[in-house]
Amino acid sequence: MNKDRFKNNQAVLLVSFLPLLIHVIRHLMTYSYFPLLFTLLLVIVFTILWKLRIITSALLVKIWSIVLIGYGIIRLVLSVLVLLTGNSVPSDVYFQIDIWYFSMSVFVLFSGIWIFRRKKSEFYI
Amino acid sequence: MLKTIITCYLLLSISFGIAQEKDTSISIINYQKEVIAKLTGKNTISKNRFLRQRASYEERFLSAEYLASELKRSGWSFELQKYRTPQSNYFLDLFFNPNKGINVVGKLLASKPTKKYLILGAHYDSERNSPGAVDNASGVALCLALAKELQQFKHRQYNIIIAFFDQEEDDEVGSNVFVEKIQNENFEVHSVHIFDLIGYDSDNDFALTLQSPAPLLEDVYLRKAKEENISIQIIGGAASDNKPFLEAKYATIHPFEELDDRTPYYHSPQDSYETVNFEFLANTTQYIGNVLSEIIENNE
Repeated sequence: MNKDRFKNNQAVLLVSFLPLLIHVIRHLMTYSYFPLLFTLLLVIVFTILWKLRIITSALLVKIWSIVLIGYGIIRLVLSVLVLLTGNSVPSDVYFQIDIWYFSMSVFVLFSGIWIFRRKKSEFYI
Repeated sequence: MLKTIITCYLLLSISFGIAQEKDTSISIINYQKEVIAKLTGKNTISKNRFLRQRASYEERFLSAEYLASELKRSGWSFELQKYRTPQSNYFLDLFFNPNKGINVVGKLLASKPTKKYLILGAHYDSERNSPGAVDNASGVALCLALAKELQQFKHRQYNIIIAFFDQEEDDEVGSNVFVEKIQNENFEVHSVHIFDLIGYDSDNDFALTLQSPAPLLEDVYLRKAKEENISIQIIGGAASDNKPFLEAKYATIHPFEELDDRTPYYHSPQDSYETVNFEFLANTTQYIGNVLSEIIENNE
């Protein structure tokens, strides 16, 4: 495998963190710490498991890709549910379901699938 | 001869008084018609723009700008209080961005400097797919008509705030933000008067319900109602933006339409301009104006 391909893979892996990072920062700006705490909990648990060599780096990447796939799917399912059961949902949430929300969900889902399908050696790990 | 002159004078005075009252009532009705027409999409709110509802951020932003311009036109200073808050539960926080809204806060200073405030409030957002004429363009129109009247008061004992709250339909987000702000800034509040659902009256009896009135307000509201022959029913609880104020232990009152004669179009697409009883709304505005005059001008 050539070096450019490695770089591309790593770039995708890094970019896949961005949507969640932006989401966490947006909530931090409103003094809402739950998304940060939830993310930190995942990061700490998996870092400990990795440090203790209970899971390998390759498995860590796989788990991350599964998290992305799950997050993307839940966002897409929520979009459909919100649009179908409109009246019981707060307006602010209802109007967040737009083309941007949909695109971001698809991006998260596909980046997860893309990472999941790569082999361990393709990330320099 | 003298008797005839006196009788004529009295008759003329009475008819002049009645005519003046009618003129005031007509000017209030015309103004409130204009406000509600704009907020409910009967007329344009800005260039070529009709509102279908006031639920999305863009529609609420247009409404907020309009309300601010009306306050300015009436000689009030104003502030657009933009806010972002977490969603109502942790699960929503994980998948959605924070709430975004704008409270429009108008301020009119007292005649002599004081730290005490009297607060009038009404929410301006609407339920989705509802023009929100009675709920709550009516409360907004009442406050805007009062804004003009309060400006004319010769002697104001308190600073007055008119707050147009955003997102009442999403668990009173806007009024909660406002209450937090006045608590943090240690506002000395005389009383809070919240107006919501105040435009429907199918039997034209102009009757009202007062929800959870503070004792100091109940007395003056009842006395003025008796003078003006308005039937009043008092109930407890909290059903609108009065909730956060009651929880924060402010002296609060929430006047709204008669309990047994409430709008059947609540939160529906039929809650339109045509269903508003403008005579009832204007009469209620004048009644509230008289109540406020007693509180503000006489330090009741």
